[in-house]
Amino acid sequence: MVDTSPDYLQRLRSGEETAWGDLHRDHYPRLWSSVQRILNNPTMADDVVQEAFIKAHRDIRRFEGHSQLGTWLYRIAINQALDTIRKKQRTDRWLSFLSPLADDENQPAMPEGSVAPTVSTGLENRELRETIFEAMGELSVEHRAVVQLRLVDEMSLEETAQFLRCRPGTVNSRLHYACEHLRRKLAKQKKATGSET
Amino acid sequence: MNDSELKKLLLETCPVRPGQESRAWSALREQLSHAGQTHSGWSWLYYPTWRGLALAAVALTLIPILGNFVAGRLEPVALATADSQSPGIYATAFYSRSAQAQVVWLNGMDPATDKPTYLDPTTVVAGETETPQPAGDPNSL
Repeated sequence: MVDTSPDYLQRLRSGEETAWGDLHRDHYPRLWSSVQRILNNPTMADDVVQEAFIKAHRDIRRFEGHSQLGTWLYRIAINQALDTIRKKQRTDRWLSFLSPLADDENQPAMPEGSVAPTVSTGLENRELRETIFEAMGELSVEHRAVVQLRLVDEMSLEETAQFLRCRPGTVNSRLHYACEHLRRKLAKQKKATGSET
Repeated sequence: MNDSELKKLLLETCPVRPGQESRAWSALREQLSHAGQTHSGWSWLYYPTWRGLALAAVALTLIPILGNFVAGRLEPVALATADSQSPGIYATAFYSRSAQAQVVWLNGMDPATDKPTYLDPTTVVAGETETPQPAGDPNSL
């Protein structure tokens, strides 16, 4: 990993295309998956991740190397995703005010191939992954963001609250609600699978 | 199901599709090449930025003030001059009692009459038969 070596940073700062290509190749999959888990909209996730890389390209001179480059990039992407959500919510409020039918068009998209292929795991795991993906889609974006930051990324409570601009207590309650929802859906799926066999 | 199992399952959702990364990189590379070209030191002057907007606001405030300050110290520029002692445009000004107006006659014009031909026909002009108005500003129309 060449993450924060001075030479690599210098290449990034000078805008060397191969260096940016390496950075993109190393970090794109994780960034995109994380952003997609929060947004549940692949087109928006594409835009957000691209915008995050453009911001990183613009601000790379300010990066002092105190943290891992991947962490810095991840923070940019998550902030970008949350900003996008806030903007979309503001727009949606206006749209719903102007036309109540507009809400129907903003349902989260269910992309093809939204769960990992079943090459290495069994059919049951695939069904569980599909179930959990659908269950995530049923949660609000605030709940999905808490699940991603606190459960998947294991951010601290304070850091998550800071990211989401809410109180630590709110983070805890949202996480509790979201996990309960996911567990309930998974249990239901397991029960259905068990009754079929 | 505990948190770590839940996390493991979540990590397996939303994978990047085959070819997605390379397509994203192609799009990004194009964007970055544009960004590299436009981010010269003076790009904020001709691209809409907050910095440019602030500068424009300051300029729009200062330019009229400075212009007024400078203009006050300069001689007014005359587009045409008239001098009775040298060839050129001559002008004669007199007060016409019948028209009750100050008339400026430029040399080269048709001979002036003392009839107020420039007035709107519907405009009532005080005729000679009317009682004379009390003397006011003779230059006032």
